[in-house]
Amino acid sequence: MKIVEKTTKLALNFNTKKTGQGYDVWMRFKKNRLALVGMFIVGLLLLMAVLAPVVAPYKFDLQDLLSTSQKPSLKHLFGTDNLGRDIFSRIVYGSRISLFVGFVAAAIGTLVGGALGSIAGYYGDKIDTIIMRAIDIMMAIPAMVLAIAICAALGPGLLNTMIAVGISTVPRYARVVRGAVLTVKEQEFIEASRACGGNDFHIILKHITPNCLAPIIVQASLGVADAILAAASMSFIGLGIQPPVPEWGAMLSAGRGYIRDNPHMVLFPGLAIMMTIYGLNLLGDGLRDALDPKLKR
Amino acid sequence: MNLLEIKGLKIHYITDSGVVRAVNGIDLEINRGETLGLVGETGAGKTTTALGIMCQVPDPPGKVVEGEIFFEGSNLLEKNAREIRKIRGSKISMIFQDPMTALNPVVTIGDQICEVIRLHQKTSHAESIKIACEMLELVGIPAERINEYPHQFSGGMKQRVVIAIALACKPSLLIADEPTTALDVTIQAQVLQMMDKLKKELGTSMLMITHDLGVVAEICDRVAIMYAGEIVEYGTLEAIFNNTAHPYTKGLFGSIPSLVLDVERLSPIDGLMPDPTQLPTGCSFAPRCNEKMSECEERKPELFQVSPGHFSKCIHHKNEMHKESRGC
Repeated sequence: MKIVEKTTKLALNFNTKKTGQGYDVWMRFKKNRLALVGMFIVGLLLLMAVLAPVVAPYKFDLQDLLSTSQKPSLKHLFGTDNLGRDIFSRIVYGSRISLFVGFVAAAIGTLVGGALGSIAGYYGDKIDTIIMRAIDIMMAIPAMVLAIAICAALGPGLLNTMIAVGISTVPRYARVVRGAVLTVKEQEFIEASRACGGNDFHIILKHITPNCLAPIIVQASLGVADAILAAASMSFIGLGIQPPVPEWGAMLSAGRGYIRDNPHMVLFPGLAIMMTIYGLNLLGDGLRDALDPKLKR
Repeated sequence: MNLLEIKGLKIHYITDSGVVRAVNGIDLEINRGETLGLVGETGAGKTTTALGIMCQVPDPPGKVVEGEIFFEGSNLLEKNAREIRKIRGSKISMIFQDPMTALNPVVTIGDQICEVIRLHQKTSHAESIKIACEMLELVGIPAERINEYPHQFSGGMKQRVVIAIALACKPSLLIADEPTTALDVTIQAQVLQMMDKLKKELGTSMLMITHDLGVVAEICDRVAIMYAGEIVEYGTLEAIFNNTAHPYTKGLFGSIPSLVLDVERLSPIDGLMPDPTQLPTGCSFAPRCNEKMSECEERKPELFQVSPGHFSKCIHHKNEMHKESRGC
């Protein structure tokens, strides 16, 4: 009777488990100063992206042909470009595009690559050979070239850029996940789970994936940064997002002709890309340390 | 009807460098509520037998070559993957040797106990947690610790968790594969006592795989001695311990230090187990046997009855018995 009472009480506590676990992760994350800096930068960017119309003093496509190529001033914080558009406003609006492209492309890469990698690693043998050789072929083509090829085939545009960048990162995720799965699947608890009556899908989802989460998270957070960079590069060469949408890479590209006289045109978009990637990398490292219960102290 | 009946089970590992004959035609039966001890040295094929019962022999390279495994009257080897999964964990469950690796390090123990319950029973999340808490209390772990991770427990506690998972669906057969080998002696006794108690409470049959005759003496009803993939002696606990028939079993008892007798040296069994890829043609124990005759190396011995319910697989011993009975 006592046990029953006790267990009902505990069962109630158990339901709030999710917040409890999240709290643990947060406590560990908080200890890492650099990770907090990373989170601050990424948070700021997200806020900027969401509140773009409030933050930006001008519309991103508003041209003021009387004040083109102006140096930074109080009126135009980061100066204006060759068409007289306010660079600060364009960077603020650009964060929407860049973050969106980055996260979606990384998500495509993680999901497709993760699924392929875990299937290859778990089943091994023939399936492994087929998937991994196909991945090898993809790896033989440089990611950028592959993305350009896909984009050229699908045509430029936001969605196609995301798909192209996402697919070009699939091999990296697949390899990382497969490697992690290979070490995990040999462990006894996988056999124990099979002895409990779990099927393959259940075992992969419930036992293998959580154990591979650390490398996936690190790869994904670095992947977001890479995807932003790749999308910027695509726009830089004119295949990605099309003007007048304010994409950071496209802004770099547009400004590169004026780099001698007006370096601010490329400096600020470049800084924006750099800070975003720096923040995401710090955040990813911090998350890895915080999410791994084996490192718990 | 017996709960489990194994008939002529043969399991081979087929590798490039040869066929490893891990299990060579064993017969076993376990009644309801009974504990059978499967004893043998490393490499005798004990774990392969257990995996065979779970239909979990790693394939490739493992193959069940011959034999039948009847569980509650139906042959497990004829069932498809889905039917086997329904039996695993709910009717037959297994305790693995090393509790350090048998638990998923990134999932809380509560989730791991709930998992097996939810795989087999249609219970709500809250209900399964309640059962998990009860199971934890049953194996002597405070239910408060349900949200903790495996690394927060000691080895003995982890083995208790593993036992809780194995017993969560109240299986009719529990296979314990050297459950106490990885634990130190004081914890061994606790875990064994607890398993014995739970087994009686839940009416579970148990197949106890071990190389420790002390463990066998403590909780088994009947004992099967395994050597090179064969069962060489089989009988009740009393028959095996007091009326040892097979020279290998005698050798095993001779290798145990005694607390009572004052002996100068132990008498171990000389030599090593035969290479399972090249088993001898005659009795597989013959090369190490000190009672061997020329006949032993020529033909395979068969099981004969020493006394009712007590079988041994030894030509020499059989001949002796015959002489005695004729002499009378």
